[in-house]
Amino acid sequence: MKEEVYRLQGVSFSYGASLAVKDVSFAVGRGETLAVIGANGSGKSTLLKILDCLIHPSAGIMSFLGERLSEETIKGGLGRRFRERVGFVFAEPDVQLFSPTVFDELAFGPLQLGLSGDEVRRRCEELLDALGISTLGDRPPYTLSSGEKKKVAIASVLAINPEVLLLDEPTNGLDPRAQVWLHELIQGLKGLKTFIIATHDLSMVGDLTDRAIVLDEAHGIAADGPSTEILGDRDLLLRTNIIHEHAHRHGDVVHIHGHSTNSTHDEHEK
Amino acid sequence: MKIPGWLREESASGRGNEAAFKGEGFIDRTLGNIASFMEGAFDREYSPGGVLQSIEPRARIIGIFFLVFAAALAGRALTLIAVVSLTVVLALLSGVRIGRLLKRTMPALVFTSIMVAPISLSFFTPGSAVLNIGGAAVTGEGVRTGLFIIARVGAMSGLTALLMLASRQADLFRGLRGVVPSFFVTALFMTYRYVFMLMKTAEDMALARRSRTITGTKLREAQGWFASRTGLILRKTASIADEVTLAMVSRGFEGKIRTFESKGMRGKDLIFIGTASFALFLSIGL
Repeated sequence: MKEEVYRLQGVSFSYGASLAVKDVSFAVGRGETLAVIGANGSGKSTLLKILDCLIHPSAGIMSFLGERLSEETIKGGLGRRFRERVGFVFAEPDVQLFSPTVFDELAFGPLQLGLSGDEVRRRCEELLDALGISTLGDRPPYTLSSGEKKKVAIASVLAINPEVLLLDEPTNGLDPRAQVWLHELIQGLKGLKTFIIATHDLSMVGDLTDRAIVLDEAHGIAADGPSTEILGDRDLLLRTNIIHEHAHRHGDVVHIHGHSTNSTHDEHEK
Repeated sequence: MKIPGWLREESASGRGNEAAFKGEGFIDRTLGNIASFMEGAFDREYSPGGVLQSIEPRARIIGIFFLVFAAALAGRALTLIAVVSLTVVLALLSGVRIGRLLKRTMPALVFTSIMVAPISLSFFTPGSAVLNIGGAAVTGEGVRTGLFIIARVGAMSGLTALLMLASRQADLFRGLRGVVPSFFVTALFMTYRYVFMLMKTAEDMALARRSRTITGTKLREAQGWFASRTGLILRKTASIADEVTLAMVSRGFEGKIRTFESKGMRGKDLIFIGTASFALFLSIGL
């Protein structure tokens, strides 16, 4: 593995009495594109929030680029360096878009991290242009469509130029054109950035990620391996409720289909 | 999946009482009115291009504030007339239609008229009676005092409406940042932004309820539903507030909001502020 960005050992987290992440251990290398897949409520979003140090594990150890991550170290000197290096795109763009205009939204992160006004303006203009959303610059974010909101939410995190991008359900609510836009963006940055993507979208896992971690409904890791192997393990995907199976008849032929949220038929059997 | 038998039957058209069907209830009307007010408060009615729009937002806010202050301090009708005339001229030069300005000012005028109506009676303002209404005399002095107050409120609300109509929402908040601490402006903007979003949620809830309401509901039931939804929205508000805070922290927020430094003011911005402050000075003297 290349230089290790994250290492988690026995990490658990509970919301009150409700367990959300259980005894999770894995490491992520620099430049890796990792998918975190699992059924609804398996703990994907919580795991991403833990990785962004927005919530802190109730048990276990976590390190980032060799430095121990905890509530204390984040409040100390590591906090600024960590925020410069890690960006988090929330599943719900509305919570992330709170500035008067799209331009201000992009500028928010870099300004908080202390970049000069001129540098921030330059970055925002270049980013708006590069992502093809320069016409949205003066618009209030709440007036945008779902796809545009997602684009702006991603742009607002890219403006920080983080090394690691945590994407929570990035294709949720996106129309096909916006999905292609997102695929192209990740493809373009692949290798340059480290991506950790929590998703239901198995096509995204297959097309874009090198490795996948499967969370089961007990909130632990059911599997961790190359994405192609994970996607090929039908029993695993069925057991962890990521795909479901049903059968129907076309004349004399019985089709048995495995479906995920975004997939079409992935198998036909006679 | 086993489909219940009744779900396979033809839907029961005609079972409801058509006479009992009601259109919009008070919930729909209330939510609709609040939402359209919130929506119309900014951008929707923004008039682009014009004198006021070319003034830097901070200077625009300071200048209009001076003029509002001038109207508040004016001791003579002539001063108020001058402020109102200036408002009309500014509106015309800024491409803001007078009808639209009046529409925005009218609620304040009507409300003030109702509030100050008793002042025209001899009980409150003794003087020469001009009209007798059932034993109560309307005095000339009372009418003049009432009209003066109405004119003052009209001038102040007209100027405020003009500022809103000639400013994009973003400019208004940007301008405020140069006048009051940015933390308050950000809090104010977020309040507006998320109240707007929650209003939309409330509207959608009302629509979803209406789409499944066939015979209408009694007022008490509707009030109960409204109270329960208010509680739900309150919980949703708390949840959104938590998530927004996390989203801010994730992008480097550490308790103090950093924004772009304001650009310096240009000659015409200073001239606008100077003219407005001169009007304020005159209103104190006159």
